[in-house]
Amino acid sequence: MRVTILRRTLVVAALAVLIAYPIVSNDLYYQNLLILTFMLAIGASGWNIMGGYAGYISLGNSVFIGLGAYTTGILAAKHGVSPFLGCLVGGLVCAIAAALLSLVTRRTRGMYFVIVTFAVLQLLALVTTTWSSLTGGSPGLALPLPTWSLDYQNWPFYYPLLGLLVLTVAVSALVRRSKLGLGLFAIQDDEDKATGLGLRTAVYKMIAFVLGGTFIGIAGGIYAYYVTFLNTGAVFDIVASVLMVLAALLGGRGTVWGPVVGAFILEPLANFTSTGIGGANSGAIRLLIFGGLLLAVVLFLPRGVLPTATSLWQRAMARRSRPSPDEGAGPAQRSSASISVSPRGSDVDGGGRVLEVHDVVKTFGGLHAVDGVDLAVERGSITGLIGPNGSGKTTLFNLIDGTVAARSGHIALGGKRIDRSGRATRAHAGLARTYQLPRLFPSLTVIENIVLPERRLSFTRLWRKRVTSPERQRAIAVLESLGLANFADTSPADLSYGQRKLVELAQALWLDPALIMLDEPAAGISPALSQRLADLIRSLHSQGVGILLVEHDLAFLSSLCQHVYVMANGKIIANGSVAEVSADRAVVDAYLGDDVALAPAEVHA
Amino acid sequence: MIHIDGLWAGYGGLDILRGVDLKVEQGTINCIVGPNGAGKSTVLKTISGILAPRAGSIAVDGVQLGGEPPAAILRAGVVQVPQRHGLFTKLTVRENVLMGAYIIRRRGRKQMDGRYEELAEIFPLLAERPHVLAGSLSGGQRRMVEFARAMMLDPKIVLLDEPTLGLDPISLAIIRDSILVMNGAGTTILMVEQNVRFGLSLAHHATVMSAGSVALAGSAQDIADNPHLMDVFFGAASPRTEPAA
Amino acid sequence: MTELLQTLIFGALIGGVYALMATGLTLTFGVMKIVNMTQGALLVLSAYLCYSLWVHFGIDPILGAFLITAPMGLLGVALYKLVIERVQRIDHGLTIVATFALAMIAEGLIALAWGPNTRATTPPYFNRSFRIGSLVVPQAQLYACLLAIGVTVVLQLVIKRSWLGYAITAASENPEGARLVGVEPVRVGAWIFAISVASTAFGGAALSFLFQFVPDSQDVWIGLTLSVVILGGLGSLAGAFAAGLLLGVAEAMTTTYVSVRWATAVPTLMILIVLTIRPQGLFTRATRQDLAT
Repeated sequence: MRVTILRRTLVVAALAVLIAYPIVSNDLYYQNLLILTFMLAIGASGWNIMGGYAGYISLGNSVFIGLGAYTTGILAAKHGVSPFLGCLVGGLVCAIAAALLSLVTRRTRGMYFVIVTFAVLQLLALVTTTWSSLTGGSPGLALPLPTWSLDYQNWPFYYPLLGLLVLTVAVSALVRRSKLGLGLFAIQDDEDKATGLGLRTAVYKMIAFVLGGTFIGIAGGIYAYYVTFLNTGAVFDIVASVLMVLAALLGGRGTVWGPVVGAFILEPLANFTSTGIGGANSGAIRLLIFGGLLLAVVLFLPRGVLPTATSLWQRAMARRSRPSPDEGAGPAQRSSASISVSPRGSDVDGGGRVLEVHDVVKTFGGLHAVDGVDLAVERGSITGLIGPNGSGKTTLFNLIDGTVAARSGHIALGGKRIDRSGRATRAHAGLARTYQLPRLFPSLTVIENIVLPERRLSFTRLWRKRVTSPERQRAIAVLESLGLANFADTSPADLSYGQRKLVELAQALWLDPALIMLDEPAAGISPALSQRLADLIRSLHSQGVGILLVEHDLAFLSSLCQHVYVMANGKIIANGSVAEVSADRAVVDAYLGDDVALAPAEVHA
Repeated sequence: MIHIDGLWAGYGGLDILRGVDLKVEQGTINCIVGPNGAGKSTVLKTISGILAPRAGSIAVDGVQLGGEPPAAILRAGVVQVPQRHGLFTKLTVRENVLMGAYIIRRRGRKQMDGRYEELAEIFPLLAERPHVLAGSLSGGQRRMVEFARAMMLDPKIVLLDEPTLGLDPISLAIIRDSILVMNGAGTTILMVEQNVRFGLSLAHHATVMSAGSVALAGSAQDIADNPHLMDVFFGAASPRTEPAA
Repeated sequence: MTELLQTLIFGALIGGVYALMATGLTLTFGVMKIVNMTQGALLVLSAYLCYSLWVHFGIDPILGAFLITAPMGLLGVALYKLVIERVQRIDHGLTIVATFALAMIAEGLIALAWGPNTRATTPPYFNRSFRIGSLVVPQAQLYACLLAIGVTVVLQLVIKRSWLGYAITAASENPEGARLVGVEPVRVGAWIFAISVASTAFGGAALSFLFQFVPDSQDVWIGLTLSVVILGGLGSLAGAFAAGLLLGVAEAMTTTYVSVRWATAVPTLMILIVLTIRPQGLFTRATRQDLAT
């Protein structure tokens, strides 16, 4: 609370000073400095939407400055278009470029994304230099001088850039607070998992990249007219790109105000060093200063100035205590757990099969990991899948949910084929899963984790609050029934392993799935939690959710399943009730063997 | 053989072990059981040097080993087989097993090869598929390779962290046999097991852990028959021996 | 026909050199998943060191490369211990940013030490050629390419056949498992950086007599070495060699048949195409990643 009030006061005061400054002072040096600072702050904030929220680090964001500047420049110099219109066109060009780039790189992750952005910057710099008929080539492009009276000084640059900065920060804040931001942070943590929860991550990333690119592009257009002369070295500049990243890292990556704070620290510094240091070595010294600064920030302030200061402030003001993880044994939590779900397609008449897998094949190299599997899950039934390790169970799950693509075969969910659809589409169709090792999103709270799944892509929904109040109510109810209500607003890192498994299950159920696949839900959790889990699975069953369950714990399995499939070497070798398959000779040979696990305790001499 | 006294250890700001006392006799099989998060695996990691103790002592045959790096602990004859992902999937079976002798690599190829041949008699996989990449083995086969690797140093003590985790019943039987074979060769075994029946059926001595300290200890038979055992697992109040910090 | 053959020879020879220049990056990328953005600066630094040895003592740059491997190796250890290892502990994703910062610092230091002028070494063979019929085989390119083959073979043997190689493979894939057999990943990391940076000395030597260089040449070379590694597929030495050849030939073809102006765009374009169409690289096969353990 206190931090928020303090921050608001500071922001309003700072804004007032910045608005008043050109009116009360006509010192062009400082006006110029502020204009460059606004540029950097816009660049860093724009970068931050993709780099800070979604974790996609771009080292090529000065591409947008270049594109915006050259669009404006060419329109003004060759077609006489007003720069104020031109810079908007520049923004549009950047939006299109960003959309194209994110379309092309939709599967490029991590360091490869960094490299691609770096390469794009180099390539565009090369193209602008080489395509001299359009861009003026290496000599550069001169823009017509401003037509307004010199009395206005820098105002026509200063105020539009300040306005653009305010707009950029406002949009960035809006994004961060919305479902869009929630999804972007989820992408940063675990993009594959987010896709499996129905998030169209490519769309999220595209929106983020386009928003950032557009603002930087418009700024680039204004900048073009401000300097009135463009050459590739100056605008498609790797140092400018690095400064954006540096400002965001310095101030605090992933925060709204961090990039702005970083820019206001960095740009004056950059300016003083470039004017303060002269001579032949000035370029080298600049490199040393900024390289050294970037390195120092990474090493000593990896979270950035703002988050570090905020947490120091908060620690000074009050000490908040976290609830300690315990596996929950209070009397209230002994009541059997249940989560209400309305499985999709359950209103459709009668039973039928919720999942049908027909002759599915997957090979890795020469190995047939899944070799012509047929399997069906009746609507609202609990179906087990057992088999020795490496028999292909997890691979089959991955084929069904689309993590890997099948080489051949059909997979249908509720009668509709899904084997050619993407993972998000399958989630939208009513498919959910959990993992052997729970994969929650560490930078989201427990409740945000639960409400993250998306049943369909809706652009209006993306702009709603991270957790709307109806969602919050419903999620709290779910957490209460799991005995975890105290943890709603904490990080999943505070949960025990077993509790994380329960939360992951609740998360998957948020999709209202017609079918949920559980991969060894009872493995490695205490008997008390395993009991609660069994209750939960039964309650889902009674609500009509189809369940496909991989489990090694036969006792656990036989108490739940009506029907069991047995897999060995990528093939289904038997199916039927637990009793039937246990009596099957092939199953005994391949799987059960000498059943020590269920044998009574022996005594040793 | 192993004497652990008032052991505290943890990660970051969290103490997972809060005063663990444990004794292991030479030549026996010992099993630690207990609910999730009790700190069972942490005990093994602290013994093998992966995690430094914060207080207390670990002695093997009277030599203090607490806080020593893993290599020193290996030299003292203590080898750990980790819970998951113990193998190097991009190395072959043979290379994986030889890696077990990494700290004595200067003794020369001949001795390594000799030891490998000896182990191949106990673990036939070593002779059958030496040049197969470990990444292509099944879960049970991986465990075999891990056991063989642990035996490369001819250790006094082998620490097994949930040897049956995620394994099917056939592999379970093989694992049990292998543990008995290793023990038969004179190796002391200290294992952590989530599969209580499996663990207690194999062990001579058992320790039940709860919330970072030892709740019960005794012969495996006594522990299996102890009425408090299930209380510990279901989280009810347990008779706990208070640790001396 | 002769023109095509000649272009292929030029391309293949220079391609071998590209692979040599990328060797260090291939290693850190392949086994530690670290994109060492200082590779270009380290190459240029090695080239300057060879240049100084050449100008002041008349030492042949190839011999010079052998002389500077030890100090370069130590520099690698220092980089790892002082920066990389710390940053890795904070956030692995930031290693690329940190090494980028190091590259800026290195470029600044090189500019202060050697000034902004264009340099090159000129050993006797730098402008001589062998002739086979009407075909020209430039000696400098040939020697550099042989050096490339030598370095690749030696490194490949170290990785596949030595205890150090096993330890590197083990620690890069499974640090905790490695510690349990007595391999300290931090020590292995220092070794990888030592080898990586030391092997860069050879690439730098080749650079010194094949190309002219200035402090900011590192921009060009980081782009080129990155494209070799990416084309070759994430750190396989053999893949990087093949990628280097491909790149060299593509560049030579562009120069001969399109325009020398666009030849510089070839590596960058290749990065874009490969990373967007086949992110795992051209010369790797998809492996089974989901095997339950």
